[in-house]
Amino acid sequence: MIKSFERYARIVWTPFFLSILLVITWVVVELNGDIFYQNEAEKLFLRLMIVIGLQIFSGNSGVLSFGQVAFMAVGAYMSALLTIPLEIKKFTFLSMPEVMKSWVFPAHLNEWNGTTGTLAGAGFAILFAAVFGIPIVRLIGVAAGIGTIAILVAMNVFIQQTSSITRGTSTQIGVPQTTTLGSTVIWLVIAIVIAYAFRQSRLGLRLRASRENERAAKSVGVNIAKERYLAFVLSGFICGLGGALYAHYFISFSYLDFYFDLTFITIAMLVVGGMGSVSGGVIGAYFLTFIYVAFQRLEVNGLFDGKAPSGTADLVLALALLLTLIYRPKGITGGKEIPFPTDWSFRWVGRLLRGEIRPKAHSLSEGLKVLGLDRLSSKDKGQR
Amino acid sequence: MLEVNELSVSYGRINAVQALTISVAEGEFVGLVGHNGAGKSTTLLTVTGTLRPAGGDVLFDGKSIVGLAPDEILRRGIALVPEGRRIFGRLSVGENLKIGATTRKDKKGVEEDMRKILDRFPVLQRYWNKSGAKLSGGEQQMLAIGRALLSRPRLLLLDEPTLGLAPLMVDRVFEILDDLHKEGTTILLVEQNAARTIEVADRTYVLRSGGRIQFQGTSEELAKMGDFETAYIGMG
Amino acid sequence: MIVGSASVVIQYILDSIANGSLYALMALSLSLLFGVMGLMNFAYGELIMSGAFTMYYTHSWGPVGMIAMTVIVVVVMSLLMELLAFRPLRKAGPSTLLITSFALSIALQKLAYMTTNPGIPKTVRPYPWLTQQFEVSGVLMSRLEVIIWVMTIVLLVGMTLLLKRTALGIQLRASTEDFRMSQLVGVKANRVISSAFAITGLLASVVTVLFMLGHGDVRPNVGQGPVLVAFVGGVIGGLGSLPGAALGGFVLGLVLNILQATLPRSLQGHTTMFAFLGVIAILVLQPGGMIVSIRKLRRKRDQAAALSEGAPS
Ligand SMILES: Nc1ncnc2c1ncn2[C@@H]1O[C@H](COP(=O)(O)OP(=O)(O)OP(=O)(O)O)[C@@H](O)[C@H]1O
Ligand SMILES: [Mg+2]
Repeated sequence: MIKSFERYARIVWTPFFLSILLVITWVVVELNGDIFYQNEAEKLFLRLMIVIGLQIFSGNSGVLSFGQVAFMAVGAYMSALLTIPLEIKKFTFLSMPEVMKSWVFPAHLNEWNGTTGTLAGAGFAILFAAVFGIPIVRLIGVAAGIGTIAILVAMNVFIQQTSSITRGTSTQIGVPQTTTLGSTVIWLVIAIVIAYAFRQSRLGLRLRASRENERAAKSVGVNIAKERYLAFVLSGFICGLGGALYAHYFISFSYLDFYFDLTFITIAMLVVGGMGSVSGGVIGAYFLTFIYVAFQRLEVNGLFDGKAPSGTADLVLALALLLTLIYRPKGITGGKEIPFPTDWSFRWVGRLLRGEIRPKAHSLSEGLKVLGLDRLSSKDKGQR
Repeated sequence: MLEVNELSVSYGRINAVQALTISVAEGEFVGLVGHNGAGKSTTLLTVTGTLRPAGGDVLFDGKSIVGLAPDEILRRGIALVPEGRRIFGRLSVGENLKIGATTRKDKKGVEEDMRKILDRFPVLQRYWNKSGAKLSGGEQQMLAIGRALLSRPRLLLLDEPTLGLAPLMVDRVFEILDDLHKEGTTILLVEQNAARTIEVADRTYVLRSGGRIQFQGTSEELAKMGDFETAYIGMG
Repeated sequence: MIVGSASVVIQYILDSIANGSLYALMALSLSLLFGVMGLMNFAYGELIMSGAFTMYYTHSWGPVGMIAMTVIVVVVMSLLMELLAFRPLRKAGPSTLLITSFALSIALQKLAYMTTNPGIPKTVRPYPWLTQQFEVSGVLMSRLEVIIWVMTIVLLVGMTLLLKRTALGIQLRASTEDFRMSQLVGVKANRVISSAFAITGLLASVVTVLFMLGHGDVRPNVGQGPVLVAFVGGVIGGLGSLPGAALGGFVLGLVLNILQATLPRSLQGHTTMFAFLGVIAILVLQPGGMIVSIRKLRRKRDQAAALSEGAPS
């Protein structure tokens, strides 16, 4: 009885733990009431959405994508087009081609607090991901990197240059503000459950096996292209969702919001946290947001006499990513999920007291060993 | 001269070589034969510094060479003719040879060696300006051997130099190796062709999968065991 | 406004050649690093950026001092990049190197934001005698354009000589083709990689000087656009091949420029988009770049010719 309870508890543990973390964050920020922290929290949540989308594809397949933000853009723009009131659309999208006008103009998908519009935006992101996925899943390594960068740049040029559909370099007008912190958290929990379920599913397992060793995976007959494709499309959906939510929270957005800056920050979050796990994405997002906000405050308020020059926060993020790549390429979590509480290890306390853990480049990760993550990853090393 | 002690090498979780011990004495011609995937290439790549061992030691002239960079190991006198020849296809034949002498400072000596090698392999002289990729398999093998010899190695390692060559060419390669040995070069030859290897080598190790030694012995001893090839290596 | 159409065409082509030349040099240096260590160096754009700022701050030293300082700064930056960011990752895979160069690129851009007061727009003041156009039989040219052509030719010839005639060049080419094997014949990894970065820096500094003398505006992200186009050019030509990449960069720069000038206004902006979409197709269909397919065609032709000459003896 207790045994079987533990079995089920283990299955839902990771998404449960991560969701609780999100809900606590939301409640704290909501109670605090400071608009600065609310916006930071929303940014964190939406970036985390992209990080989770990225984790589904890159984390499981090992193929890094620089292009997922393009699907976010699709979600944002399409869901905006389908929800902006007709009276405004008539003026802002005067020159839209008739083929699009016919179905975009009458659309007003605002049911259930904008849920339908959000889902429609995510649906278009799926379509785009399904098309671009066909070539991308055939690429690995640097070629995949360049291919996905190409998606990002092509999308950005398209948005900038096709003002009849996207308003070009101007910001959007009249997007209804339907996203709230609360609704974002709900969608995020759903995304985490999807990502975790995918990771643990047979599909995800096969994909991760292929990441470990393409040769070995091929020799046991894993058709990786199919798994990769599904992961890519699913990732596109999550990113599209993030984009749609973004559109309806920050309402006046433009092409600048979906380019290298966001790509960089989400990749940094995922890599620093550890690409291999959903927990890694969440921990990375929190960790970097914490650092970022702390340094941003330092830029604004200063410490002692001097203020940090503006831009310090961004620089620190880039350095955090560089140091992670050099000293701990598998990220803080080492690609593992949060272990079940009974598995937590506190042996590191004793080792620390006995002086066996020396502070060095890895001390950042040592600090997180409270979660018992070291046990799992050192077991790995032993086999090597 | 070369002592490999309890060497273990792994690729991630795959153990390619486990506790392998072999030795080559100065002036000796040693063969190393075994199944596909037995870990022969892995051993040679570890000796030459491309791969790092997980355990064990490699001594050359009594000193450990584990952890040295490949170019340093070459400088000390171990050259490799790798599996698949690995000719620089976009470099000309001449450039392929010249790059073999990268570690050497004695210009005169290099010129002398170059002349000797071109005498030994006249094809290379003829195709001096041709790009490496355009040579036939046999010619490429000559080039790979010539390239290795230009570093004036004291120990020459060869990894399946007859793979994919026509029978006549195979004879030629063994002839060359025999000549080199007679001229005083120490040789460690990895081969699939067990019969021919046992013929020319002073001593031969037979490797089992995972880099464990099944047998070792002089050519006479192994020959006496008669049908050992079919029985243990499964090759004709 | 009736000009002989022939001279208009020539005008476009001449302008485009100058544009293509710069991209050829950039793509060449990108492919050098890619070949030697599997690095797709995003941070190349920040070499251009650091050079641009150097030019801005040393403009008052006069052209010679400015150019000398720019070359020094960019080459040193390139060597530092290797030493601090890429050397610790020597054993890492190409994807890790790609993210690293991405992070490095962003870090350097932010560093520039922090240290250069972006509130004040900065331009490298052009030298009128360089950019002023003069007419040669109906075609407008500037001294800068001529200098770009000459410098590109000089550098390409210089690179060819270096790669073909010197020991270092042979080692670089060998490493580009098979890095592991090149070490097995005694090439020192640190030496070739540092050299590759030094050459990259040198080429980048020349590109920067020529580019900035024409364009002027100095921003922390000034290098990003050009490096993306050079990337694409390199992929089209084939990053694994030095001449292929240079040719790819040249052709792309040329074509983009011609399209910009000739396409109807509504499509002009989309040219880069098509270039990037094209890259995805090339990566999938012809990963070695177009130069590889040209080689294949030539080999087939050779074989066919050999067959028709009659049976071998
Ligand atoms: N790069 C690699 N990654 C993972 N495993 C490898 C790699 N190279 C070799 N192996 C594995 O290591 C084992 C030994 O390989 P090795 O190439 O040393 O064998 P070999 O004796 O040279 O075989 P052959 O006669 O086919 O050349 C094999 O099981 C092989 O699959
Ligand atoms: Mg082998």
